[in-house]
Parts: sequence; structure tokens; C-alpha cells
Amino acid sequence: MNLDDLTRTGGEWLKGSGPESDIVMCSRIRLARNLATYPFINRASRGERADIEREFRTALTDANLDLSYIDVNSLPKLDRQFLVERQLISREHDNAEGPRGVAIGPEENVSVLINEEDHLRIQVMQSGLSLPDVWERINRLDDQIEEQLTYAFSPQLGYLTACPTNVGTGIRVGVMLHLPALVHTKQIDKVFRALHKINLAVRGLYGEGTQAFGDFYQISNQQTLGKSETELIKNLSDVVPQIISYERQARKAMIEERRQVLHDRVSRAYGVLKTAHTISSEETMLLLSDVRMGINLGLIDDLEIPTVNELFIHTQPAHLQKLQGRPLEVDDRNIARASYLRSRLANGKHTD
Amino acid sequence: MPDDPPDLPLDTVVQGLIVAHVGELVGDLARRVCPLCGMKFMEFRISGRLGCPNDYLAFDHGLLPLLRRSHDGVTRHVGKTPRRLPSPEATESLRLRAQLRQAVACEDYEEAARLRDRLRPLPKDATR
Ligand SMILES: [Zn+2]
Repeated sequence: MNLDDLTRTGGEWLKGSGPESDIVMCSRIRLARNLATYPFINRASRGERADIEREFRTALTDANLDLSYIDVNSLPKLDRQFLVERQLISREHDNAEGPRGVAIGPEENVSVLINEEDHLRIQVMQSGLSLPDVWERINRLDDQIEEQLTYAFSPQLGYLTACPTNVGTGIRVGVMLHLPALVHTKQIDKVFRALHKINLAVRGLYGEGTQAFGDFYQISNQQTLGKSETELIKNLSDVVPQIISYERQARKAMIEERRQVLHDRVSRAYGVLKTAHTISSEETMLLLSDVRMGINLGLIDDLEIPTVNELFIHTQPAHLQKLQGRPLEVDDRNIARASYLRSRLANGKHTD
Repeated sequence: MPDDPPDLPLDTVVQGLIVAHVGELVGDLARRVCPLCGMKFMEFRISGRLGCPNDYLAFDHGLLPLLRRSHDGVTRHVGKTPRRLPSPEATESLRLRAQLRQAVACEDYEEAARLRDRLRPLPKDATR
């Protein structure tokens, strides 16, 4: 697979097409699996990691899956960072050493990571609130891969994982939510506290320990043992509509009580993005978040959601450098970012 | 990688770290080692990562409270079961691999070659 082909496109999960997609950017499930006959990654020798990688590559080929394989170990740092920005590999996978790779499905809905924290991490993402669909898809994919291999599994503890916090189902069920109104009205901490109480985790866009990014938050299960996959999916699916409804109420209140103030803020954000000549990543995220909410509230009518979703990713450092075809320092990136934003937003309408 | 200072064995350093960060581990648990991968329970407490599937058996008493804390008090799997379950040979493979890593570390290539031969014919490959 040629990574340069990806630079001008966005994954399906950015299309803004699924249910509740004004607030739910995407749904995502990942499964952790390990081969029964090898030690976990931190104890595996380089040779064993190469063997694990080979076993999975063979299994993926034999299962006849429509996946393109990328040898992450041989990629330059910039390309690995590019894959992190697209959510196709994790930061941990980027920073790891030794034989490892990722198999990517069409439209970037599927990514299969080999030799991350576990031997195998299967991830399926889809636009909008669509967890049952995502589960159906990942469960089938898991079955197809599993036919070729024997996983570490115990009847008592389920799928055995390198970290005991993932043991059992090995599942992480998550949704990525855009919650600008809850952030602006300072109600977000209250929501997070309630989620922690029911054992759900909240993270930034790029995983554990990352800052909230353009008012996007990932909410996911922490428990993996003692409940079935479908129960864990239901737990999350029951909570998400409540958060969506809080966000909608907050948006409604903002527009009813302070319409002019909100409209002004959204228009200024759009104006800066369309005209700036140098702009940082942080400012871009903040302004794009306002613009995204503005479109959803009907305050901006000449820009489409998929374009904004894509801009969140395409204005990231590695993406800008791939688009420019050369490494750029911070100052040059800020100039390149502003120039890219002006060109994408020039005619108002979606410009590809 | 720099060598460890000869007068301060790694175990002593690790033990010191454990006591500082985790507290003194009681008796037997502190000395538990997985016979298949050589992982020590105290190493796991520092890194949070296990060494091999057998560690769930080797450290069962130590892991149980952690599992309860992480998983809402429940320690029995309900959910998907793979169609193929690991056979006892899987454990044997883990043992052979540990010996192989050891042999390579000691530059005993004759032993390493012998172990590689024993690891090669896995039942599944034989049927293909
Ligand atoms: Zn072990």
C-alpha cells in the first residue's frame, strides 16, 4: 500500500453519515488477542516477534481478507505519525521497536495491528452511532482470523492478554463524541464524573493521557471480564443517548439565550480559518470545533460536515508534511496549515 | 545497553523499586516466578504487563485482587469462546521457547538448534 494515496482522502469514519453523526463522530470496537504458543510481547525475543508477525500475515492471507499490509517497522517516523493521526495505529505501536505491522481495510474502517501491546489488536471504526453494526463486523473478522490460529484462552478467564485490565473479552467499545456546548457551558466535568462512577473511561482523540482535541472525547468501557461483549456494548449504548441529549440541550440553550453571541463566535472562527496566514494546530482545532457546531446549528450553510471532519485530521503535523512532500519545522507548518485551510475553504463549498 | 553496575545486582534494584512503589509484597508472592517465561510477580507489579499466558496461573493469587478491582468484582469470563482451544502442547511450546531464548542468550547454539527442531512441527501445520 502506498501511503501517499491516503493523504488526499479521508477514512469512512469521517464521512459524518451515520446516526447522530452531528455529535457522534464514530463508533469503534477493538479486540485484543494473543497466540497460545508464544510469550507476550514484552517477553518475546526479536526472532519470536518476527515469527508472530509471519504467522499473522499468513493467517490474514489464508483468510482471504481484503486488507493491505504495512510493515510498520520499516516505516520512517513521519509515516508512522501519519498513521497515528488517521487513527490506524496507536501511539504505542508507533513508538514500539522491532517487527510489527498493520493491515488496513478499504475505506480505513478496519485496522489489524500486529505486535502492539498484544500480539493482535483488531479495530473496526464506523461513522456515527453504530455499535451493533461494528460488533457484527469485527466479530466476523475475528472468527475469520481465528480459524487459522490458536489463541491464548482459558475457560475461567477468557482471552488472555498482556495486561490483566483487558483479560476476558479483550474488548474495548468506544464512541467518539463532539461535545462543544457541554464544554462551553462548563458542564462537561459533571458528565465525566458521572461516567467514571459507572466504570466508563473518558479519553482525548488520540487515546489515554491525550488532551481533549477540538472538543472530541472518546468514551469507552473499562471492564472486560465478567460481562459478555453484547452486554458491554449495551452498557455503553444505553449511556450515549443521554450524553447526546445533554449536548443537544446545551446547544439549544446557547442558541435560544445568546444567539447573536454564538453566531458571532462561529462566524469569526470560520473567518479566521478562511483568511489566516499562519495558524497553530491548537487554534485550528478550537476554531474547527466552533465551525462544526455552527454547521450543525444552521449558522453556517456553505460548508459540509465531512470537509470539517477531514480538516481535523489533515491539518495535523504529519499530514501537512506528507501533503507538502517534505519535513517542516513548527513555523513552516503553521504557514502550510493556514495555506491548506484557505485552499480547502476558499469557495465555501466542499473543494477537493 | 549499558551493563548493570557489578556491585548492584538488578534484582536488588528492582526489589528496592517495588518496595518504594508497591510496598513490601508478602512472603511467597514476592518470590513467584513463571516457570515458562521467567517473569517475576514483582516485575509485573512494576510494568503492569505479564510475560506469557501461563502467568495467569503462576500468579493467580496475586492477580485475583487486581482482576476484581478492574472488573467490577467479577473474575469469571462470560462471552465469546474461540472454536479452537489451546492444547497442552501450547504450554510445552512456551517452555521450549523459554529454553531456546536461554540457549541463545548463553550462545549454546547446538542446544538452540535442537530446540528449534522440536518447536517446528506444530500439529496444525502438519495437517496442511
Ligand atoms: Zn510466563
